[in-house]
Amino acid sequence: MTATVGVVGDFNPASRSHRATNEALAHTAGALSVDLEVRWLPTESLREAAARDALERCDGLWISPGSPYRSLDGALAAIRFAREGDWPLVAT
Amino acid sequence: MLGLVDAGHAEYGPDVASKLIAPVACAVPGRPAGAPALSGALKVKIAGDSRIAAIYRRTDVEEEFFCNYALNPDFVDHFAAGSLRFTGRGEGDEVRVAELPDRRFYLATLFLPQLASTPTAPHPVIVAFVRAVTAFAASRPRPS
Repeated sequence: MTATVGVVGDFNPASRSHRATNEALAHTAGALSVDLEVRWLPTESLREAAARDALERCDGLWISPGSPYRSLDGALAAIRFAREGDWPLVAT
Repeated sequence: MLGLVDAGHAEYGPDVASKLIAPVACAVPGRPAGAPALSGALKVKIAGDSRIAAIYRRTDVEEEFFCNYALNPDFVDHFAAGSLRFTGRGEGDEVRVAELPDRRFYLATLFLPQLASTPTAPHPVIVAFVRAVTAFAASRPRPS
């Protein structure tokens, strides 16, 4: 079974922290021998009610570093979703 | 949030009424030019009876930071009535880790465990998170 991590943030390939987030998830999944899909969720896309579907498809959320987010409201909506629905969340 | 209707983040504008998230007060001395206020490896004291202590299995750690903003110390006491716990502190007692103990996994760190994680030694916080994610995936109906 493949589990999905949604990374809440606006991916920037020039960001060392963003690249390290992807690398850490990949090598941790490898070390644990689990199938993990990583999906970045741009903050502006999370402002709308329709974003709930995208969040529900994830099995956990990682609130990425690299503020300011393009949409602080979008990032906060994802954090609220995880808190209210008891989804696994890490914020670094 | 806990009665703060105007909680704000100083990075998003100087006009927020309650600067819940504020610029770091004490920058690390001697950091490289252009580096953020909190940069490099810094000590964090972990609360013994916390989720993050169970993850580390120790209470003194050193972690990689790369940030300019932190929880405003003026608001720390405001959270005492809620369920959020501050379970990691810097050398000046600054809040570095927060968690919600009544959730299956809900952990926030001011530092960046991904910067210290390697294929041969994945960071314990990330290992614990991935385990929580795969356990949750296995426990619920697959979304269509």
